[in-house]
Amino acid sequence: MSRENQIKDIGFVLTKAPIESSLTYRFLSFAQNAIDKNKTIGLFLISDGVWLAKKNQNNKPHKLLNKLLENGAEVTVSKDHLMAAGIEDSDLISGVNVTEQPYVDLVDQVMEKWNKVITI
Amino acid sequence: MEQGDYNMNAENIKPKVLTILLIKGPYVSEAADIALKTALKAKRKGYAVNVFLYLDGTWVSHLKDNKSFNNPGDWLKRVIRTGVSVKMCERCSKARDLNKDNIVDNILIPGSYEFIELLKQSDKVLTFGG
Amino acid sequence: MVSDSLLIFCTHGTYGRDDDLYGALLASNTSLAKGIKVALILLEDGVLASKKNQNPGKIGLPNTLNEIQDFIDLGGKLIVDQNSLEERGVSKKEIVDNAEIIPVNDVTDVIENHSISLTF
Repeated sequence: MSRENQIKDIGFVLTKAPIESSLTYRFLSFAQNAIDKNKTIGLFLISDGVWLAKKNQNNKPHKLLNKLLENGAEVTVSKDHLMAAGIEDSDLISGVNVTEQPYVDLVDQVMEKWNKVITI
Repeated sequence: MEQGDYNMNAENIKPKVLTILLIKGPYVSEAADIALKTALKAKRKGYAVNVFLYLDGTWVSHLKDNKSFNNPGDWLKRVIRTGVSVKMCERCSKARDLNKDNIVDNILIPGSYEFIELLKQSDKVLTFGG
Repeated sequence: MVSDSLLIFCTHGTYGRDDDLYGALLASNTSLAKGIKVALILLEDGVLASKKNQNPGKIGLPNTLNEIQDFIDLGGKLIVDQNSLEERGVSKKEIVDNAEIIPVNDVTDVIENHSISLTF
């Protein structure tokens, strides 16, 4: 089974900007901790959550997102919200998947690809 | 059903259940829009979908009129038309003076026990507005 | 699938955000009354809800501790995030008895042990 088709143990739907709230970092920490325990993780960035994926930031949540990607987390980002934010694909960190059908893919990941889901 | 959608309603297959909890009102954030668009898409993909309006999420039911700008009330009406079950917390509604006369049609206002029953039936639950 | 266990993240715990907190506790206690196993994780400012000696009489709001005590009496599991407590200078002695204080490393296990989650 390809990595993209693997069922993830836990999926996170992130709607908050990186430093809008300390919750973003806290929940990303849970994700990293799950990976440390050999769990597989999916992240779906939508609404202000898409800002996490922009390059060249200097904040803890963004650094942690990079680490999660290096450690195998699958990260999907809503194109609709990137466009709203004025973020081009070339502005994104490498390794994220941009979806042009955010709600289709969100539903698919939540209902079929993730065992558990957490939203913030 | 949209072209390409997976038909989950074949005989003897009970669709998976998604419950969406909305706890923030319209316009203050995108939570209401995202909750309702997700519900709509999930229903079109063949899942059984419940939307429960809780706390300030109940305010979206108050958007009865048409508007020339983005209107979560429109999304709510579309969600209801496609057969998604929409309910709102009785206690939260009373606190906000929301009742059948000043909310969108076809929304039930049960007590909080009903919400718990929805949770028990659900395969997955999403909270928007937390 | 029938979900028989519920995890509630409570991320706001002050009287300034009373509605979120009260909503979380109402959902928790009603779930317990209906026979669902519930864990309530207090996180970030949510940990402040567990502080002893609250007295909101002068601001006209009901005392959160009453709902929290009901939650415990009904058999709910009250979990408090250790990091969030330390960041806010609240010690174990200052919070209600019967709360389990856990480090971030243990939250993943709690997520894994519950069917569904809500975030307030």
